[in-house]
Amino acid sequence: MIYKLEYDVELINITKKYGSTPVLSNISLSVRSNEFFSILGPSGSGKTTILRIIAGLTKPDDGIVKIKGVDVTSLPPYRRRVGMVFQHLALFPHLTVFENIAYSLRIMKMPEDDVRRRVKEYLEIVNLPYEVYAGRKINQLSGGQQQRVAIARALIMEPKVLLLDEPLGSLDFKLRQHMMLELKRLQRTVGTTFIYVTHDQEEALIMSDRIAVLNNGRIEQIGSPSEIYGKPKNKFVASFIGEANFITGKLVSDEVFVGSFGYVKIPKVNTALNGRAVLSIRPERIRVGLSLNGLDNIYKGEIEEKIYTGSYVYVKVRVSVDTCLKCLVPVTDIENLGLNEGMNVAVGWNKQDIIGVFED
Amino acid sequence: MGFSKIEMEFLKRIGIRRASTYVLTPSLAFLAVFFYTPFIIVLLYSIGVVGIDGVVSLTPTFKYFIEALNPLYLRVILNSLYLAALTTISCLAIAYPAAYYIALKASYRLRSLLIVAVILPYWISFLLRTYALMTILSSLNMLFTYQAVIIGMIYDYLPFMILPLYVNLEKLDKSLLEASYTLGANPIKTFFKVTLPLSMQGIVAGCILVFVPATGEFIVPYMLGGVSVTTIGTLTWDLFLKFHNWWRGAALSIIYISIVFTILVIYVRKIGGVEL
Amino acid sequence: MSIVDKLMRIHTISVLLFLYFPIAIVVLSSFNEYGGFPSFKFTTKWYESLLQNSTVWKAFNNSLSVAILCALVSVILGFLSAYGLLRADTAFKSSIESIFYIPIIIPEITEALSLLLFYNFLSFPLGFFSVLIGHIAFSISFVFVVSKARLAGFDKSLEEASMTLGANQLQTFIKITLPLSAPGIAASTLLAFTLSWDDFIKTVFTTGPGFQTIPLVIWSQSARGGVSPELNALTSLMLIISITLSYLYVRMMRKQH
Repeated sequence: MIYKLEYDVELINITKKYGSTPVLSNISLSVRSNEFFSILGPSGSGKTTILRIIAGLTKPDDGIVKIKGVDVTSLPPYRRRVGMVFQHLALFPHLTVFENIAYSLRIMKMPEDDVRRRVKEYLEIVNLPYEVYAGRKINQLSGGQQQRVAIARALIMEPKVLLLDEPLGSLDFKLRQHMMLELKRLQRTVGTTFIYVTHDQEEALIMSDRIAVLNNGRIEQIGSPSEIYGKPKNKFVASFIGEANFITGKLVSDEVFVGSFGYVKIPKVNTALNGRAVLSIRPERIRVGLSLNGLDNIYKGEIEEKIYTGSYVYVKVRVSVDTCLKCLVPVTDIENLGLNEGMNVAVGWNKQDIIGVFED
Repeated sequence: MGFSKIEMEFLKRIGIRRASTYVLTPSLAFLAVFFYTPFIIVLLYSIGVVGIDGVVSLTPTFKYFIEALNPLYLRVILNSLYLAALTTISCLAIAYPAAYYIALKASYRLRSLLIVAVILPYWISFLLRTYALMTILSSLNMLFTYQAVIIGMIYDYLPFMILPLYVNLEKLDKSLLEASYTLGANPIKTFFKVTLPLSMQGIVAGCILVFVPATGEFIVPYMLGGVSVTTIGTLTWDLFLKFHNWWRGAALSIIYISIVFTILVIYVRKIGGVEL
Repeated sequence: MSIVDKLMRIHTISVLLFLYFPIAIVVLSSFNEYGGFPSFKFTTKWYESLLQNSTVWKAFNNSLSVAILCALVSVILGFLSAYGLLRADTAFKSSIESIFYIPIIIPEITEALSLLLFYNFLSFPLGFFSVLIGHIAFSISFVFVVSKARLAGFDKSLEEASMTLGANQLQTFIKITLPLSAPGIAASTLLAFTLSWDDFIKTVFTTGPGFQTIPLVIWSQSARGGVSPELNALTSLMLIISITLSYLYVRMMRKQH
């Protein structure tokens, strides 16, 4: 059986400038059917612009937008059947919950009975009981409830793809955690492709099937959460996702790196990096102990700082004059080994624990 | 100063009350004497309790109201209401697209310029603007016609309609329009389902700001219409300043105010709560 | 830009042209030797003859005196009332407020004729004072509304800080409230002045024989269908004064504390 990959959304060489400032440069990506796809990047990286171009609210200067194989670049938004959840929700203040959700169906001139049935169905899907909420005005709802109305409103017209623009930004911590799982569940239940834009890497890692990391209008990497986290392609991705130590030094050979604290055995690098390079390793991959053996790379250092965050502890170990490594240590180890500031300890890791050696 | 905190609080309270009494009383007194009392006087004149030279008699009568309700005057009242309504609707039709364009379509820099340009005539008195229009109409030989009065009314009242419409449209959340587009509604449907309902407040405010004063307008009909156009305003002028018929004039004014007030109440009730 | 957008832009520009065209014509005509168009020859003779016109000068003095007095009285009374009401502790706040709001909503002509009847009833002489009183009654309300809006944005904690530092109510008012409200007070003064300066309806109903303000002069000369070059010049002057006054007003209102 030939497994054919279907793309619900394709962006081909999209470019956008505001005046003379480039906002997006040659963006190309393809989103698969039924995928939860996130676009992750810092503020100002252009991610909302990508969303607006897919929706048809902004026209690209160059490039093609395809939805389910059809070139929609010149189609206005009301002809693309693309659902969108706006950052500030954009719920109609003069309409009730029912009327907001039913909006797209009424435009389609759906018979009232079907409308009512559908609205009921979708209110159920987002966990808002019809009898209680249908007649309410938008300003009578809490932030989380308004969120869900916005989602139901966009989903009810069975769009080809659902676009979400940083929808969880204004929610408090617990609600955000809850909504992340809700959104994931929704996507699985309804089966629609989701394209989710955020600057919060935790959201992207938790919910997505694949992530595109965006920086300054360019795509740095596209991959699954574990790929993005464990095998970042460059320094930006490594530093933007999760925590990482960055050690500047030089490549001695394609398997050896040297920093100010000593030589490091690294996995074979096949790029032609000459001179300065940056080694990156995540805090949780560095082992800390009073003495260590059996690891590819072991160094001695002094605990400079202990940062207690509740469920785990960061320990900063100085291994040379200009290199201080941030290490994640389980609370049990801290207690068993009696690790404290000022102590001399050993830190170490294996070759495969390194996430990458990058250009400076 | 040496006062304890409790004493300061106490003095503060007494001080505020006393100070505001001292300060409010002259204004309230002034208004009571020179604004509100005159209205009572009008009432007294209209029921004939006051005679010539301020002689007060104690026999109220309705004869002045009956005089003021003769068919000729009634027709004038109706014409004035019609003129005011015509002015209001015309101003609305002309002002709305302009306010819409300035609030939603113009670029930021252009917008500040445009809104200043629109507000400026607002600050120039009716008299001056009507005279300016008069010079043009006179050279076109259009003076003293009904058309001239309509043009004049629209000309004078247009800024009163543009401003509230603009203020309201400017507050419109553009993302609501975008949401409507993504939900399948084209710009025309979006206008009727989203923009128009949300701009209702501005429309109502503008209509009131134009209609109410327009009913009593006499500068425009007088200057541009001459004797061919009679409104409540010109009639009031004639009664008071030409014929010195205080009594019928007072009765007419009371009738006029009642009509305007009634229309206002009905209008506001019908459209719902309104904030001016 | 779609066709609809282009049409709207044309419409908006046309509206603006419509609003300004007559004004431009008046101003241009006032410098025209021939009074009207199409021929044009620049001259200032109409303005010169204005300056020689004693009726105009008398009216100018009258307008100025009334406007200045009106501004002074209305601002003091209006601002203090707004301040007093804001700081007051009474259940009648909104009713007292409405007492100030009503004069603004009532059609001017109704106000004007009521005053006339009032004066008639008391056999009060019609002239300078009868006009002035009418202006003040209207301006107090305007100044009150404007001051109230400005004072509402005033940071109360500044006054409270002053009082915890030992200043009493009056001292706080003079040292803190007044200086910080200065731009708003200046703007209100300008507003009251402008309202009085431009006023026509109230003035024409409450004036007596021989007492004229500039608007009255313009009215009496034009109401006979009289469009004249001198009147053009007078109107142009008034236009420039109006525009200048409103410009200053907006500038002052923009100044926040």
